[in-house]
Amino acid sequence: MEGEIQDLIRRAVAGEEKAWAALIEQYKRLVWALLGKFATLSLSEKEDLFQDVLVVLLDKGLKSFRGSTTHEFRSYLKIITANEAKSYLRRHGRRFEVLDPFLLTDEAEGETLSSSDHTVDPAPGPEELVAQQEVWQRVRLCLQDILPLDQEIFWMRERGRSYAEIMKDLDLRPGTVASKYHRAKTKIEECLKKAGIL
Amino acid sequence: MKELNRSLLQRLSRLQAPDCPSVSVLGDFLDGQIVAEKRPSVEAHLQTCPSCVNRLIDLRELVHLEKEGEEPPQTLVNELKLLVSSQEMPQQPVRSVMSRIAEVLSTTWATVREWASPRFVGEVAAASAVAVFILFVGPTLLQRQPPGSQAGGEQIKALSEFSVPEQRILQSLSTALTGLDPLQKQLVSTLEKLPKNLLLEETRGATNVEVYKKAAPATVLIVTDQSVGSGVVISSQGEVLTNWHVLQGAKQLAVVFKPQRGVEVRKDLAFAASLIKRDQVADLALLKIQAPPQNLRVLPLGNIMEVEVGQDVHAIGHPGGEVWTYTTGTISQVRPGYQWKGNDGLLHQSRVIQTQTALNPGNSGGPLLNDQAEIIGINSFRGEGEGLNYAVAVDMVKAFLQQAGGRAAAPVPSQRASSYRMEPYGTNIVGVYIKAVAPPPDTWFVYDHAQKRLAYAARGDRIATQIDTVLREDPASKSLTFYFDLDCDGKIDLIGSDSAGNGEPDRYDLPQGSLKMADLATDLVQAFQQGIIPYSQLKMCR
Repeated sequence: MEGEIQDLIRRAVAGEEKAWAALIEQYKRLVWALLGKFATLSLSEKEDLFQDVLVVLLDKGLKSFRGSTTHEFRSYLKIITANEAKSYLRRHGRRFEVLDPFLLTDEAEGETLSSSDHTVDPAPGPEELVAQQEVWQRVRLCLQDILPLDQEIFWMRERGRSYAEIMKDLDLRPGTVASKYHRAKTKIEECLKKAGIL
Repeated sequence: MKELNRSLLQRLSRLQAPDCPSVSVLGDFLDGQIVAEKRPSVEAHLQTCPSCVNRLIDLRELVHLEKEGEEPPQTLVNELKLLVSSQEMPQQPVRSVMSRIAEVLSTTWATVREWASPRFVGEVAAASAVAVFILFVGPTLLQRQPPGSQAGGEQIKALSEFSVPEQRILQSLSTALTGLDPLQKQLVSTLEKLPKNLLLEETRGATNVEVYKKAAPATVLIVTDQSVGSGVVISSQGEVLTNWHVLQGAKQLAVVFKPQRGVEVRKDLAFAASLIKRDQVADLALLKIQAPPQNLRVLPLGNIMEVEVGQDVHAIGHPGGEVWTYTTGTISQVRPGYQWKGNDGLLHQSRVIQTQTALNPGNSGGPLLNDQAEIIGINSFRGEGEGLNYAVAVDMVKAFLQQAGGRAAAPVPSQRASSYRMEPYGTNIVGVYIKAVAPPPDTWFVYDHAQKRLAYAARGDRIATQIDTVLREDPASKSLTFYFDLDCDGKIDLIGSDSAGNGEPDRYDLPQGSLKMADLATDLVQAFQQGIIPYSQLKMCR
């Protein structure tokens, strides 16, 4: 597994037809599905962007990929795809409406991609940072009391996944997801209140 | 209880700690591949780090999408696979492949749309042939033009610039384009009716010899009972372009073709012709050979937009009866709205191409050609001085061919202001300028808002005052003719130019809003209808 992706990329960059074709075959669904998360794109726009993403990938992306695992490569593809889609929408003065805003939030960019609000966080001043750090510590403390699985279910649910999907993804028994979610939600709310955020 | 708000959650999900594990560690954790001793610390971290929980969810989601996401269209996937070819590496950044294809395709449809009206069909020039190529001659051309080949028209050169993989994409696109909707099909069939030689001739880099070989058979000697001149065949039905002044006063006229070898003027190569229409203003005439021979050689009309000062040009004609004389030179300038007094005693006006290519009496009516042997002008007159020769520009020729009737010119000289003319202005200016012909000293040409027509302004009017101010402040401007130049922003500039059109015209700003494009619309429409302004010359403001 390790290194396989690197090998494929190296061969594609070297102009090996088969390697490039294999890369496309492997990741075409991922790119297409990620574009599908941008709700405002039309089919033809999706098609154009799909091409753009792959052209950018071949042109620059493959060469500058520094990772070695498929997880890294998928994350990398996610960023390229999201950037292409975002810059396209921005160029055309269009709104982002992302089905799973969390998935396509670029950590490095720190931009809100939410459909419900467009508030861009202002860069925090030094005081705010300290406050954030303090809050952060308090949040971390209370999260200690919540089961990791419950936290995961909470976030997945908040990100719009259905109970059935969560159940399948996390390999859980039927009927447990909803109760776990509500338990986690209540606890997280309590935690945030304690931390002074809510 | 207050709902957890989304932006708060998002902020929370992005709060990263310095000790967050990398993607590859998280990935290993997800896959159960993580080394045993690292596992507890990752678990502990996940417990208190919403950001990493979310990154983990992301990773799982990405795996899921990779395996079970919806399939993109297969044709798209196949095209993209062609981006890499083992035969040849793309030399340029691959990004440019798609953008160039997009460019080509958008030009295609833009051009096709422009041609949708039949009136433009005659104007198809080689410039648009890249687009046309994709539509119906693509695969053929690719075979004809291996990369690196020097031959070929400009359109072909552009294509051979594509690398092999690029060409393959183009090919697959041209195949894709065969599934066109009915309107597009109709357009394509219109395009297909165009003379193919116009699109396929490989003339790029043609030497003077090749230009001559191509153009001489289409250049005819025109003999009238009054004089001799030159002409050029522009249609296989035997239509011949020449100067009006060549035919002036003629009762009989004949068109003589060059023999295949030599330059003997032979009776059996002479054909009777008749005048179809003429434009005295631009000094143009169209003849028709009554019973044209078969397999006429014709020359296509070029595009004025592609004419550049300094480019090589070629002329063929019969100066002083020296039949089929070839001369060559360069373009010295393109001059819009140029006025000249002809030996025919008429005042002519047209956009002209000034060239130092030697032209003499007898050259009149012959073609001025570019390197592709396309007609870019009709050689018409000589200036006073060495190497000052002028050809009526091809856009004026096209306008002449489009207009239904002819135009009569005023005799020289005419000091009274009697008419105005509109002409396309420059090669890259949007709009037109309107010019008063020989305005009398005390009146100026102006648009009358109340009457919605063009009129002359009396002294004291707003525009007249402006012009007066200019004249007062700039004594040199007294010798200038003034033009109104309409810009797309609705602003109208007052431009002074000397009567010969020499030199860069001075611009005088009029107060903004004093005249508006829309105000002139009626007159413009009229000008189009009368064929004074070829519609194709006017880019509409958005």
